[in-house]
Amino acid sequence: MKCLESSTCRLYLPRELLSEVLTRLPVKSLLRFKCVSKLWVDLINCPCFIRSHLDNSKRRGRINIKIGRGFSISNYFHTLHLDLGNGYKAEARNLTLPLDHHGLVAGTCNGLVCLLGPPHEPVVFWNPSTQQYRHGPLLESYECGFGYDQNSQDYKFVTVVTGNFHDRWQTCKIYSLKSSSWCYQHDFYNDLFLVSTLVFASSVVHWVYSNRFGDRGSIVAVDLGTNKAPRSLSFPPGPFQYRFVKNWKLDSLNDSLCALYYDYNQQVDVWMMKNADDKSWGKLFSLSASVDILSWSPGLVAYAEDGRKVLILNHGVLQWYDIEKEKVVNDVDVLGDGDGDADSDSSIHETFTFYESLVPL
Amino acid sequence: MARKNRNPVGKNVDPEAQKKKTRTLTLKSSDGQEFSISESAAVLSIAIENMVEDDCAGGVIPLPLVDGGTLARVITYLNKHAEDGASDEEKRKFDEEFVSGMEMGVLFDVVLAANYLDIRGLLREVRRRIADRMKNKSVEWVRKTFHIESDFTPEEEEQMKKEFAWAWEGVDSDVDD
Repeated sequence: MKCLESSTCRLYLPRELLSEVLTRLPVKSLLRFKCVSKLWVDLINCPCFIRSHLDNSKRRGRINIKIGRGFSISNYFHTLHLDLGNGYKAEARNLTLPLDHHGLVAGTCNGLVCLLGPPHEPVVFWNPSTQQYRHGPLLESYECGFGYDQNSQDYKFVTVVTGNFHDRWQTCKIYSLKSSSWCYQHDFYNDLFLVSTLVFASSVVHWVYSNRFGDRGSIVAVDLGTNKAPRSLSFPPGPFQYRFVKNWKLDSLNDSLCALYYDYNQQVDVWMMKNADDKSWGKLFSLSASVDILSWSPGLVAYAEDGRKVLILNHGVLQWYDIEKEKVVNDVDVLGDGDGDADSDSSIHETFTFYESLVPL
Repeated sequence: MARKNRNPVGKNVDPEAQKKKTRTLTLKSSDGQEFSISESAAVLSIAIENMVEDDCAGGVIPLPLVDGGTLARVITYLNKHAEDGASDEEKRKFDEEFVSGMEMGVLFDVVLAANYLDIRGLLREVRRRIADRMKNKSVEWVRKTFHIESDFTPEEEEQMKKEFAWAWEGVDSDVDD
C-alpha cells in the first residue's frame, strides 16, 4: 500500500477492484483485453469472474431478445436489445448464425443459446457474445429444452422423443455439456401426449401432457440434478373452465415456473409458482387478449428492473404490463429494424432472452 | 444515505441526527492536510463511521492512504450526498458531473479512496466510469494507462488476437478523453 504515495505506481489497482471494474465491460472488450497480460487473461477466464460478470449483466438489465417471425429461413438471428430500466425502445440487431439451417431455438440460459437444425443433424450450443459454438447430440425430436443444473454446475440439453401413435412409448433424455454425453434416460408408457414446449425453471425442466381430448393431463417435471423418475405437478387451482389441459401453456419468469391459461372468453390468467418446495401457485395477473387467442398466444419475457412491470409478448407486439395498475401501460418501439429479407411482417411470434455472457463452450 | 432518508426535511428530526449535522470532524490526509467535515457527511463512509463509533477518532481522523487532493474530492462528494433537500435526481446529476471531468489517474485515486473509506455509492459510480472509458479502447491504451508490461511473446499475442479478431474491430483511437 506504500505504492499509493509514489507517483509512478499511482495507477495500481488491487486485483479485487480491477475485477469489479472489468465485470462492467462488454464481452467484446474483455475478449480483447485478454491480450493485456497473463494476469488479465487469468482473471477474465476465471469461473468466478465469469459468474460475477453474468450477474452484473443480469443486474444491468440489458437483455437481448431473440425474436421469431414465423418460419422465415435466413442465416440471421433477429434480436432486440432492450434496457429493462427504461424499456420503451428496443434496438433491432441481426446476429449471424454460426451454421446455416440452424436457426430454431430450443432454449437459452446464462447467455448460451441452444440451436436446432434439420432432423438427425447435431444440436448446436452457441454463445452469441463470444461467437463460440460447439456441437451436441444428433437431433431426435423437436421437443427440446436447454438449461442449467445448479447442483452439478452443468448445462444440460433435454429432449423428449415420442414413439409412433400406436406404441405410445416416450423417452426423456438429458445430455450433459460437461461430459459431452447423455447422462439420463427415462422411458415411460402412457396414453398422454406432450402438448407444450419444454420450460426450464430452477434446474427443473417441465412440460404438459394431455390426453387425446385435451381434458385430462398434468405438468411433468424432471429435476436435472437427480436421476429420479419424472414427477407430476398439479396445475394452478381454479374455476371449472381450467379443465382444458390443452389451454395451459408453460413459461418462465426470473427462473420461476409460470403457467398461462387461455380462456375462450378472451382472457389469459398468468400464474407463477411462488414456492418450488411446496409447489404453491400464486396468480400474477389476468390479461384480456385478442379473439385469435390460440394462434397469438401471449408469452412472458422479463420483469422490469423495478419488478413492477412485466414485459409480455401480446398479439405479436412487446408490451409492458403494470402489475399494480392491472393493465398494459405501453408498447415497446422497435428502432432500426435491420430486417434485410423480404419478411415484411414485423409481428413477433416467439421470444427467447439472453444476456451478454463469457460462459465458455 | 439510508440514514439520512429516514429523516426527510420538515419531518420530526431525531436529535441524534441533528447533533451529527452540527458536529464537525477533522480528516487528515497522507500529506498532512486537514479538512473539516460535518459528522453527518463523514459517516457516509462506513470506515469513518466505524472509527467514530469506536470513538478512536479523538478529534482528528488520520487517513494515511488518501492524499490531500483526493480527499478534497471525496469530501465534495460526501457533502453533496449529506446535503438536506438534495433530491435523488440532483444527486445523480452531481455524480455524473463529478466524475466526468476526471482523468484516468484521478479516477484510480478516487476509486482506491472510495474502496478504503467504504463509500459504496462513490465506488459504484467511479467503477462504472472507469469501465465506460476503457470499453472501446485498445490493448495498448490499457497497458499504458494501467502501467502494465506485456508478458506474452509476440507469437502468443498474435495467436490470441487471431482467436477473437472481430473483437479488435471498432476500437477508438488511443487519445485519452
